[in-house]
Amino acid sequence: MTQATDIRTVESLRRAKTDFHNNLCRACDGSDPQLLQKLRSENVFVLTEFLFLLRAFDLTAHPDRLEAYILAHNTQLADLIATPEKRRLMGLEVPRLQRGVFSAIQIDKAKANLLSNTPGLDQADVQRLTIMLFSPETGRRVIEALEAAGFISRVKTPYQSKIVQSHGQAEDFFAQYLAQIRAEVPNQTTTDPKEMT
Amino acid sequence: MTRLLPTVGLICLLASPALACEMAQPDLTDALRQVLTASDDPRVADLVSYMNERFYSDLSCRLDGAITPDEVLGLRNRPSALIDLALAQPTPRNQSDALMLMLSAMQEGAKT
Repeated sequence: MTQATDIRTVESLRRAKTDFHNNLCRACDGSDPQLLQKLRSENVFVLTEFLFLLRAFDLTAHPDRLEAYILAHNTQLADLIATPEKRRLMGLEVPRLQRGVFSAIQIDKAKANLLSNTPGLDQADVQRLTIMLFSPETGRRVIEALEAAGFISRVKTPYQSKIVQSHGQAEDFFAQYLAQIRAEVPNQTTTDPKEMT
Repeated sequence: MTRLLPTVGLICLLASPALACEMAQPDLTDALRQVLTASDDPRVADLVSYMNERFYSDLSCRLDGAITPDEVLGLRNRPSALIDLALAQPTPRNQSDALMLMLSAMQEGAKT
């Protein structure tokens, strides 16, 4: 593996990510500079990855799958709450992690939301599921930015909740980002990373 | 000079490129600007007067979730408390570890 190959790999990864954000901005409903700036943020990239994986694993079409995902998420949070060393490494505090834990009632409600007339995840559930990524407040603002750009809709329900429905375009751009990396990263014989150091 | 050090420390911390913030809460940013620029402590006021808008938005991101705009305004007479609070916040993290955990939980869900 040559240094030139490494450089091309870095270049390909960077270009794919820049193109992802460019695609979001080009497809954005508005031209507000502040909104375009938000669409270029790392948090937007991360939330889109979350939405992409939700779709890839087909988790919101099957209540049982969603329940298993939430239970695994709860287990991870319980583990972090009980393990200060892991928690500190991730820079997370107990109160914040506790805000991400689903109660039994909230799990039932999340499953029921998938079967409603406006199927999707409640915004509060998205905020809980992304609690390790960003605070609920930041999560809300990232969701609002994607909504302002026209990539998702939030549907108010009679039960004081807001169902987040993605239109799928942001996830498509994320899939394009992955495809671009696969296509552009130099395809050479895999080398053991330990031998590279 | 000793009292100035935390402010300088915060400015250095906020100057890190990793802290670039596009999701600042406008109300919180405004409250922070009001309190810091109107500080009775001339050393704080003089120093923050050199800061551009990015300073306040980055500070706002750093304090996001830790304090409300009203609470900030309640600290008009103690702006140094804001600096101390900002310095006490955990530094922003690389999100890869959390994304790996999320992927793993989703994989568990997909097995069902």
